[in-house]
Amino acid sequence: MSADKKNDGVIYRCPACLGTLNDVTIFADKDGIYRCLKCGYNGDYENLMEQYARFRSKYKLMKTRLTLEEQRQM
Amino acid sequence: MILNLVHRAALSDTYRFQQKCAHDLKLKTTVYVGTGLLDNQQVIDMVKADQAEYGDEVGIWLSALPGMPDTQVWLLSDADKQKVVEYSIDKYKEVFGCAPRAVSNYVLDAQLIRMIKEYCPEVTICVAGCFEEGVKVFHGCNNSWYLFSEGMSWNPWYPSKTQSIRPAENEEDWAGVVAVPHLSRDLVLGYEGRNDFFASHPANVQRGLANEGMIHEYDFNLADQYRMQGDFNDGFSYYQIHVGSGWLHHNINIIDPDEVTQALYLETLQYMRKLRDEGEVVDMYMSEFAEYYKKTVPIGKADVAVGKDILYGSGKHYFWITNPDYRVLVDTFQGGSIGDLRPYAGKYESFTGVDSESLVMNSYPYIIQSQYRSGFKNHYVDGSRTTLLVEHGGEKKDMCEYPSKVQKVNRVGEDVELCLAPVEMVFGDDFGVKLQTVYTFKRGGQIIITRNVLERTDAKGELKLTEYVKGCYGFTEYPEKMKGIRLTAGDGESFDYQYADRNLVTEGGREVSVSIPQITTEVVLSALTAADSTEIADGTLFSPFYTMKVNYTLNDTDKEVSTCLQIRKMTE
Repeated sequence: MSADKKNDGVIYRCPACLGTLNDVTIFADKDGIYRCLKCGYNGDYENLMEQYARFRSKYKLMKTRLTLEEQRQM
Repeated sequence: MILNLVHRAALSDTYRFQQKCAHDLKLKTTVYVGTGLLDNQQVIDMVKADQAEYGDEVGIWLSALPGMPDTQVWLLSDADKQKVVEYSIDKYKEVFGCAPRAVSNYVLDAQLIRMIKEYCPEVTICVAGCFEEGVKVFHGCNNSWYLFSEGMSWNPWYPSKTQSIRPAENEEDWAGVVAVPHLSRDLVLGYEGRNDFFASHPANVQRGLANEGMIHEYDFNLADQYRMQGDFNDGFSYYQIHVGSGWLHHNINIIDPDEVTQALYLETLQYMRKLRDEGEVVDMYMSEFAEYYKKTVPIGKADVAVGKDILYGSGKHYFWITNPDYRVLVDTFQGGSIGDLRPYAGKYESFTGVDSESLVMNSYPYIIQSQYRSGFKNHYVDGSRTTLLVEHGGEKKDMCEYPSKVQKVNRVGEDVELCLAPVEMVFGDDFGVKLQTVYTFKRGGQIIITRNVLERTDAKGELKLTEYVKGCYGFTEYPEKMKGIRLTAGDGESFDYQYADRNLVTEGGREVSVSIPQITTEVVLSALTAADSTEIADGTLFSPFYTMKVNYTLNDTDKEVSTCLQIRKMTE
């Protein structure tokens, strides 16, 4: 299994499939375009990162520390 | 909070990294050696050296033997399960010179636990299930992860002899070991989402993209979500960190570099150490925890959890309770409806493997599951759920549309009382009513639902309330065959489920019931305050549910209606 060279061997997942909460690995073709085997997603590295950022945007508290006491008050 | 830190031995740098993290932090660690590694001298030497130097407890992670089908241990044949148990325990004794106390896998079905305990009575604790892991994880793994363990506790439990994730009713019903879940899973997202994304496993959180590089507040927030459960359980709370070493190096589900993945793991353990230094966490070996649990938590005690959303910012609260009679999830955002109900009192029996009728399925069946089985109406009629219907002047409102929150949880003897924040409804003619829901969860299978009328803008204004339970039974999101179910009104009139859309109204009635022979369970809905009528209905193939209703009309002095939802074992 090949791994992407842009990020030290990191393997990516199709962002469109991830949006349906399915894990599908995705690799770049010789033109640098990531194409999903299971759906029609295709995009370059920048688009892949944009899609991941969009996926994360629903986690509004992702960067917020909620202490025990703060959780008690929620 | 009690912490169990678990590693699984491997000949890898990442396993050594995990062990170094734990040992440098002086956290008590339980190491599982897989069945297939018990004859690997290099692994055994490494594990023994750590045991001698750091005091690690060593247990067994059961797996199939060479020549057996390449599958999970709980899916093997009866004979192969027995061979795995005997080989693993014999080999462990030969290698370590004593009997194991902890023997585990992601799922141990009732048959495996019985075999383990019979063959090695010294075993006291097992990792034996994965809270709410099943349908959603199956789908999320390209429909290829055949682990179905839904309907169990998020916390340790005493497994029954006849279905491993059903909590034992008493000593006689108990399989003899303390069971703990694999990981501690988010008490909101375990229900709403993929619970393997949101667990006490930093790499799983990375899988769900709930970190951004080294920003991983969720790992700490989740630990504190579990610490908070001590508030509802007489101070008891439990957390388990249990990460296989394969997650920390080039894992196909993680898009961060390994340095980040490993740093998140270390920082999570450092937080545990910090909490221990502050006296907030007590780390224990697995078997040490088993003894503590047996002394601290009696069989049959209700376990309560309040899940507050710590990731999406929705403000939602969920309430969970398990006791030997049922597991209930109250969805406060849907007005306090029951979103998931597992009828343990029915004592449905099952085990897994190729010799089992259940095959892969170790989930305890539900009678309500609002995520899988429609719940509140979206594009067609509603599905399995409960609600209160409120009627005034011909206008009907559905409590599911009035979000509430957990206001208070009380323990009164064996009972647990849940008070929800009041909700206000205003009708078209400006008539307003303020209602509060109080649940009393009792042993004996009773769930008492009380609707308090706190205020009315016009005391003489018409007010009709209907306690509404729409159920089914099932294991996954797909419907099961409903034929054979018997629906009965309180006066004894009954009919069989025929997908005929039949509704039986009983004026002056106070009770309706449903018998579900497929899961040996009976469900009874009965009025505890004076009711007008009851209704019971079957459904259709396009809406395969049964519906139970108790209808009340309140006069100007009535301040509450109270209804009992009873779960019991079906009698012939």
